[in-house]
Amino acid sequence: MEEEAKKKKIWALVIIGFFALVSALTYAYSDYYVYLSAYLWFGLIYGMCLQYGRFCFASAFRDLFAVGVPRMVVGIMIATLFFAFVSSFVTATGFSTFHPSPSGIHSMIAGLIFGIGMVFAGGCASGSLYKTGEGNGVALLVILSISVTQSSFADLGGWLNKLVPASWHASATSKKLPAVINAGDGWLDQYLAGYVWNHDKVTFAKLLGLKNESIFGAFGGNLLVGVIIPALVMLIVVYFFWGRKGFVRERMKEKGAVSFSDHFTGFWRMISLSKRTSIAGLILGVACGLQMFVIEGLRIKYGVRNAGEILTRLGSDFGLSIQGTVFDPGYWYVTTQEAQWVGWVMHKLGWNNMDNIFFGYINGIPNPALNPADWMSLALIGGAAIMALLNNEFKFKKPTMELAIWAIAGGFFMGIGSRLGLGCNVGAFFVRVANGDIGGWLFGLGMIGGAFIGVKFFNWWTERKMAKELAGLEI
Amino acid sequence: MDRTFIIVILIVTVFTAFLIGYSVPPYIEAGVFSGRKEKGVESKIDKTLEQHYKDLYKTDEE
Repeated sequence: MEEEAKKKKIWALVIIGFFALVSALTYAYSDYYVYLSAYLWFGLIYGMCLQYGRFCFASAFRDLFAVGVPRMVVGIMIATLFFAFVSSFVTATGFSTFHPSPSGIHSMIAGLIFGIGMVFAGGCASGSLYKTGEGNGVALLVILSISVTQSSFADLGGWLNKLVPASWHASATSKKLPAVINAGDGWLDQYLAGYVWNHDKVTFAKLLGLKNESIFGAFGGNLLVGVIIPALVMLIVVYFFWGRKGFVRERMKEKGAVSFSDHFTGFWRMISLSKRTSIAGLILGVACGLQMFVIEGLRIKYGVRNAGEILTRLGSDFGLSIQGTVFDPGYWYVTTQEAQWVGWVMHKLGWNNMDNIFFGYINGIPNPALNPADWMSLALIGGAAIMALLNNEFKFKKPTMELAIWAIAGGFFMGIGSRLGLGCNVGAFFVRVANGDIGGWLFGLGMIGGAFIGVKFFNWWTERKMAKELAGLEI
Repeated sequence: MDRTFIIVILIVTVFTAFLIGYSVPPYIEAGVFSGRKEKGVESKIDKTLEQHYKDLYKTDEE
């Protein structure tokens, strides 16, 4: 047993040694690779934090709705508060790389679809990444399913075009995008150019008539009004419906009555129970802020606005969008790079997927070996593996047929939800909420609703299956 | 604390510190931390390419 633990520690050192070597060798080749290494090392930190804090939205809402345990949901809210504080600081100092996205009812619908998917899959987008690092085969299948779904959905037209409202088509074609981008063909293209882009990008600061980059805008508008107050309301709701039951029972036994002030003690106890997720959230928040700072500094150093220019200077201009760009958020993101690597493979296999908005006009399909965001995701899996190996929690788990089907179905819904919501539980909720984007909360509300539906469906399915099995036994 | 974990944390800290250190000088050069009124550095973006990108947005009527 001890020998096995020792072996796992050696493997942890091998993984981190590999990433260190990649960074050192690529830097020796060209200093432009520092830009990619920045994504790599912050990705590794995210992976370590996610594994340590068991940071999974699907598990959090499943625990809450299925068994009434609020621990992880509370931890995620605390993590969001920490990240929001760091983000506000970064925004106020002018280093932020965050850009709000158009928000509307579509954000909520996208969240709903995503929420159902993450419960089916047994892991959200970020959760599936860190669980893959723990050797979980089901999580790897989820990632594959999300990736293939997104990549295909980005380019599908044909009969799907018939489902596009005429107003979207007219609006998309009126945008006069470059001729190589066929905005009038493809469901997602017309949804983006004909519907989503017509919505405003609203932050809480902007709503209050403040500038995002001002102290009042960043801390007063985006942090206080946009995160602290809604998060507190959510925590109170969670305490009222799920957290207080056990506490009240305990107090009734002790004192025979529960006063209003006792509930403050109960509320605090609920929060302090999520220590591990909260610590992970604090480090995640600081790391996210630092990544923005580093990426912005590197952009100034190289005189670029996007990694596409860096890839061109490195001699790799394949797969750049028509604007010369690639996906380069400058902060933590999960799903777009997953779509990109499958998009790259599909393109190599002969699928022309560069005439759509998602790949051809905005994100590109660069070689995964040179894609900054892919470096981040791979390092995230590596970081999670390191922590799992060190804590003796790493184990290869082969999926059963039933779990594989749930994983593929869940990944499909998450893939669709991600593209409709312009991100996943990280890009469309965690990062957006923390930066004061109203769309983040809309996606989050939808995601909670979706998780609730997913849990109820899952319970119904399991009970039905058990009833059938029991009936079989009776015969 | 576990020795392997300390080594991992040290390696992560060294590389992250390098990245932060690497990105600070550009900010100083751009005058972000100074009282200088006009902040920013000279862009190395090719002017012809910049015009090409601008032209992509031109409508047929223009």
